[in-house]
Amino acid sequence: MTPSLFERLLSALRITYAITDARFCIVEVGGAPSAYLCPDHLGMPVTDVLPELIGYEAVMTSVAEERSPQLELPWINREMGDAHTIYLRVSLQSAPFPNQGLPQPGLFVTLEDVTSQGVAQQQVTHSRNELRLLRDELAQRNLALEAANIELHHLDDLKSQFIEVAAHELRTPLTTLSGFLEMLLEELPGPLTTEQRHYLSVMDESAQRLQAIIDELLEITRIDAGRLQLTLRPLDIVRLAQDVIAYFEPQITTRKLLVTMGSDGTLPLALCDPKRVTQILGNLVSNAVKYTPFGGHIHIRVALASEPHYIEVSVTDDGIGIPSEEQGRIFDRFFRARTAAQTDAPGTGLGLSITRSLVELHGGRIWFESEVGKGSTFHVTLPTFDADNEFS
Amino acid sequence: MPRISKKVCLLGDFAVGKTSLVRRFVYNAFEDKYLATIGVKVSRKTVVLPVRDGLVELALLLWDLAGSEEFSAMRASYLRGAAGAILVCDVTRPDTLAGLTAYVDDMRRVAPNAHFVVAVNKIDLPDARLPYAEVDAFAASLHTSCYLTSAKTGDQVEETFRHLGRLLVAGD
Repeated sequence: MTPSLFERLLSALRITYAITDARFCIVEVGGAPSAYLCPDHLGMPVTDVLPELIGYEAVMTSVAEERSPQLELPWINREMGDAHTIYLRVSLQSAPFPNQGLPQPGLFVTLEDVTSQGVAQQQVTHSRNELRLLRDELAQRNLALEAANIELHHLDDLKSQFIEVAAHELRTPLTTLSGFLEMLLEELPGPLTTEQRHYLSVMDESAQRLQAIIDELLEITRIDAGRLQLTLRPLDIVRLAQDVIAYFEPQITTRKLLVTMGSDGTLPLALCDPKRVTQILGNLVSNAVKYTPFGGHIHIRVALASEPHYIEVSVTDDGIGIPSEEQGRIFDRFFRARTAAQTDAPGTGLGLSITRSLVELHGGRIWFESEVGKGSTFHVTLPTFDADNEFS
Repeated sequence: MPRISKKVCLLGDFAVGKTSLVRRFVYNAFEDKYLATIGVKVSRKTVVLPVRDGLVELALLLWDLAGSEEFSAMRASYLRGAAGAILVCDVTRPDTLAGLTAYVDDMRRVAPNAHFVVAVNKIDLPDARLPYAEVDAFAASLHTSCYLTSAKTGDQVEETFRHLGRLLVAGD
């Protein structure tokens, strides 16, 4: 028999239907052929064929008697034998036509195979849920990290307090020691033999070195605690650089270094803390002096920086250089490059860390280029003193 | 032996293991990979339970409902005719316990006399974060019991469903 247009339409839409009597037993099946609703089910209670309808008996009666609107159950999952899931939309309405000659109203049950939409919906829901789980996990990890961070800050504070107290306690006796060493070296108590002078000079150098370490440690604790404040004022950087070079004159002479300086014509004043900029340039020049071999060349250049409202100071040496694999760590605290550690020059590995903090406090930048055996150039930028400058 | 059937819903937030609990109980199987459920999946298992004057064969129609919030609107229609529910939360996600109150409210609106059992699932996982005292308090507020389950190992799964089954046959 040729299927009717209605049957063909239902098949195309993947809709199967059943008509029940008033006791909800199936009296007619039609539409798209399906395993879950077929002529074999004729005479069976619809709840046996569709267990999803168990519990809805009262609603089904109400729908059949048209006391309630249609009942719809979207996304009914059915696991098929080959482990894949099909999705059905079940809809119940009062059978609106003569029902196999039965006087009581029955139900018109439609099953629409919505598997393709269901699979897409399932994938969307699945992805969304996985994202939610990830978001929750991230939130959980963030909380744990925040707690760990607070704990670390607390420990760091304790460490800084300890260093500060220890450094202060060390400084007092060291000052006394240095004072007496100075008196001895000035021969105030009496003349010294050459040997005695040599020994006392070694002691004095060590005391000065210890003093420098203590000062650096105290500086680090001040930076960490945010207690380092700048006193900004207009400053001639070229002149300050010359003063710094002059300070290192004894070491420059001893090491027979050639130190040159150049600057771009007339430069604007910088807006900086003189003490801190002296420290910045002092550290860069000190490193250049320490790590440049006898007879080497150091060049200091002061110029306008490429970014507006900044002056750039560059310190170039033809010293030992920094190995490329260590360049990323050069501003880390207590880090000393392999090439530096191999020299006799003393160092704690704090100088560049402090320098960077001081430059950044001024709103400037520090960077460098270096090659082992050829030398290094360190650049810092410092803000100029002008009306547009935020510090001004 | 008398036979009865009851509709039981599994309720809880997404990915707490509702589908896995049903799979373990009905097929004694477990699939480690998470697969979100949309809509509802109905499974059936018959258990024999003791009653005052003998035994009863209880066919449990297990309605595994989607936990995602997108399906909240249609959930109420699926709850009709339910005699009880297993409220499932995830031991590693404390917020899934808080979410159960809303499911209880939904269920009570549709089935005021429904019975509940609480399942704290995934106890096989090491990072348990759910405060058990809160779970106990929640179960006590529903006058019911709480089970620490693992769909993965099967721990307490059978007991959870059978406990609800006993409540259902006792209530008849």
